[in-house]
Amino acid sequence: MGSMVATVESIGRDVAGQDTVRLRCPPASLPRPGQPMLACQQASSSALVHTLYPIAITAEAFTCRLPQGERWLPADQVGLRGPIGPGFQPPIAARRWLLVAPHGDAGPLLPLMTRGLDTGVALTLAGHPPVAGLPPEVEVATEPEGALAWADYVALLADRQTLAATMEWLDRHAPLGSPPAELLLLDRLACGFGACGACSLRTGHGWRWLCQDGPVFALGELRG
Amino acid sequence: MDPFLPWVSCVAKPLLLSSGKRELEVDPPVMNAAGTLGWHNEADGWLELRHLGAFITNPLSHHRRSPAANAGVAETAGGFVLHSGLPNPGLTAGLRKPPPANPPLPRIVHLIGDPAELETMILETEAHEHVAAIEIGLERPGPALLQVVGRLSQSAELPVVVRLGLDEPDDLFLEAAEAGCRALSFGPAHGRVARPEGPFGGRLYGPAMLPLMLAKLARLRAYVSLPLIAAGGIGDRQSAHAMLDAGADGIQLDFILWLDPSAVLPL
Repeated sequence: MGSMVATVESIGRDVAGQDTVRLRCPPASLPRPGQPMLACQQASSSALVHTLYPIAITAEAFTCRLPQGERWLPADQVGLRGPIGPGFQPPIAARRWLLVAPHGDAGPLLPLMTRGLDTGVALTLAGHPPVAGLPPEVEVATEPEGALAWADYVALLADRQTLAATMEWLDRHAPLGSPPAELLLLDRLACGFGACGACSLRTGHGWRWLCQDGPVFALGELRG
Repeated sequence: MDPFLPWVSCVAKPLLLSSGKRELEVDPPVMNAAGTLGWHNEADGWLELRHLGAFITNPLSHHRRSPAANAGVAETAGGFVLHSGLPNPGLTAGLRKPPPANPPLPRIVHLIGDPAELETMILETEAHEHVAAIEIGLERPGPALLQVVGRLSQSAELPVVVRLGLDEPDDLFLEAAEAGCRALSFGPAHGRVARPEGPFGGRLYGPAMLPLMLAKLARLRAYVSLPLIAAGGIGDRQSAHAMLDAGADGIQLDFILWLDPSAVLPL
């Protein structure tokens, strides 16, 4: 993890109607799919760092939801730390990816979708509400349960409140075991480097820290 | 000359911690608060520590301690509530972690425990090299525990700082002084915040703590002559200055080390 200064390139609005911010930062420091960044600056409206989950990543910038309460403007400088964790690591041989947020917005899965498109894999994406305006190569599933039997890699999205329900959803619809799966757990981090202990998560293999061991976890690690 | 050092030296002299047998001079009298930087500066690589006078470890209990089941963080109007359960690997494993090496700051080990454990823990800590002082964190201590901690402060080889919460009554600080404690630190109070999934409690951090800390400091300074170290609410050099100006012998930094250390320390 490093620290850097990013520049607000633009403020926009995504298809779900939420404000977004595009942040330009050094290419070597750009996050990969599933890697959050921390916005750290005293001039912030918050005394707590903002955890930014990218919803789009390009060669020189990334886009995320505008943190609540912030009034960033184009050309503003924003202190960043990150990227956090290794991000998603789909098996190289996997060619049919199912990206699914069974109980919420699939936005933070979109950078992984873009990476999948770049590498030519077949993609199915599902979330609530359904994501609009996707490339035609991406199949939008309204009932992703059926795609579990088709996929050879599954990327899931949940937060603390929907984690248990997401795991149950997977167990219910893939009772014989899902293909290799990873889950991005969305949460607000405090320190971001394993000192405060506020992002602890009890997994099947013991306690883990989102900021050090995640926030993308292999499903086998969550289950034990 | 580094612009930071004149800033500190113009408002505060070094903090002298003493056990009566050994001394630690904390110069400048600026430290991290326990729980902010880990056991050996986990933030190494992006946070420059050379302007701290000492490094305080995360809290260490006698035995390994797991996180709280409801650990987390929640934003409030003036800061945030954080609850972790103080997870740690236990004293023996924690002491084995290397002290900050770049620069080699004096290490103050923060201990948590019950009266039966603390004496053993202090002896084990004192036997370890690279420990310059001890801070004992107390949660709502009764008179009996204060007596034990006061006695241990008197008998310890290393300087001992006793840590109390901002929300402890003023009388308790006086009792701690009378019990034999040699230095006191005090930090964020407990708080609760409403969340959709239910109330969430923990320690309060952020700028909203500053006026409360200053008021407490002013009251304590009137009748406690021990070294007083204040932590909580310091978010820039002005607030650090205010704390030292109000009579703090030393200060501990917390949330600002995560949010923007350059606001307080030069990078």
